[in-house]
Amino acid sequence: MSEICFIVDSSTLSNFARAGYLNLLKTLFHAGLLTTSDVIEEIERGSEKYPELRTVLNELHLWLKVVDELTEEEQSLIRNLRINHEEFEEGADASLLAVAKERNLVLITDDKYLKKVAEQKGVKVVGTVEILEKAFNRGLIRSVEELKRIVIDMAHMARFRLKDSDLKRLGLSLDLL
Amino acid sequence: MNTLEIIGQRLRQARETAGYTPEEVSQKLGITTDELSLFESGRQNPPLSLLRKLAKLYGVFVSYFYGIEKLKGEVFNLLLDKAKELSLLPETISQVHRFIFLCREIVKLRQKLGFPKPEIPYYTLNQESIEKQAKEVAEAERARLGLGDSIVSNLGELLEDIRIPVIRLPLGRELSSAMVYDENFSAFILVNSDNPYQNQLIAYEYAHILQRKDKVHLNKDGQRDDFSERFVAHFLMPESLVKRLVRQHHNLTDVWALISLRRTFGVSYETLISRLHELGEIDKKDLNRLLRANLWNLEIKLFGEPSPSVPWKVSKVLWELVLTAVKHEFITTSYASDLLEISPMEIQDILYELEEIELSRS
Repeated sequence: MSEICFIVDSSTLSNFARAGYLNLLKTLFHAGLLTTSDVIEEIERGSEKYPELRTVLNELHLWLKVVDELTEEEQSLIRNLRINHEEFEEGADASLLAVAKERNLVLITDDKYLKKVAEQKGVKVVGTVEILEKAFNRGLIRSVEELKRIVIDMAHMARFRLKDSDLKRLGLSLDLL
Repeated sequence: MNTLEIIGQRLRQARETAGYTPEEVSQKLGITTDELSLFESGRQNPPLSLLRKLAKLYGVFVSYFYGIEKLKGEVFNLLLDKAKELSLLPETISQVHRFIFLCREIVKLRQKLGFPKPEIPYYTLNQESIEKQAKEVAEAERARLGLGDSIVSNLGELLEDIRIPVIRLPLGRELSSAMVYDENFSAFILVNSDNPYQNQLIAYEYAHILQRKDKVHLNKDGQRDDFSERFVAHFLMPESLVKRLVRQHHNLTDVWALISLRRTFGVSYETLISRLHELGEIDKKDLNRLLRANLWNLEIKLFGEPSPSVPWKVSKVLWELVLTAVKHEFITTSYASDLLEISPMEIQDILYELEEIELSRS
């Protein structure tokens, strides 16, 4: 079985699950995804209001593996991140980034600030737009029409709107949303 | 000191502040006292999920365990000391602790975003009668807030409109409300979300803020403050308003009239009936009879328990600060979600709606 190389935050999992495309993530990352128990706690909290998120919880310890036990180095990095970046003082971001950094994983997130700091720390980051692009290039999304449908569903159902630059990158019209 | 030792030290401090024994924590969270001891001594690395559970139990944020000092404020420590002096249950102390963390977060976000703190007038009390002074202060505040002699249906919202945070948390049976006032940070009000007489409690704490007798106040059942009690009566039930509403009812001793008035004013039956008596609307004989009657029980049977309030969401001040901070990327959605105890998805939805409104405007 191939090794898991990606760690995911709640925003990306939620965007795909709420729009009804979690299977697309599963197909693309067939080896599975890693996340932290902090992220799962956020998904659990969200699933009370958004039942679609239960599809994520159904994948726990199957396709979606959870890190709960940290190394001492990871705990130290979390502390440093919380102290040096006020934006990470609370929430799941510090633990996610620490695990990504220490275990040399690619971080999947759509949070702009998390992305910025992760890249500063030498962690590779991808987001929804890169995932859609990859899925399209690999033929998992078969047509531009299907791609448009996914982007529209993400906006309407997951309340996640791609930026103009992202739409351009995907070759989609800027007035799509 | 290494990170695990810092975490351990903070775990112990937070537990002792709340007043939990290792046995109680072990029972509540399903871990052994030996494991807890290993975590508290920094000899073992606690799992992330356990840190979250412990933070919730002790009323702190997870960052506290990592040695983060939120904004210092002597007044907040004073409130915590007072709560401990009252020998409250650990669950209640944890909620007071949570309130303090939120107050500090509000101060921090205000400073970051450049939001002003509320300016609240100060009324010096003198040797004159408490009754007269409470009435004058209540009238002055009604005038200042532009209330005329209208009904104050939601004092919490009204105070939040002038930027005083009103935070509702479940405080159990021991504590009804609390307040903190500091010249640098201004005022914060804590109200027991389980208590049905929210208006009355908020007015009571507001009276404490206006007179500035103490920097902190904890309203434990059975303790009374004459000025504040009289302020509540005059502020929420001014004579002209009571007389106007009473005229709508044929018979004030009719339970329907009393239930209706209580729900209108948002006070307890004891406060309502006493006020009606002092304004000459209920005679002495009926006063004693009605005070003994369990009208609250009847009201619940007729209308049901008041719907449980949702803590955090009700503080508009906190909402505005947190959403603005997320929008300006001062904090992340995940951070905001921890502060408000709602999911990041809900925050994403709200920000999306706000953006839609802004887009439609432009």
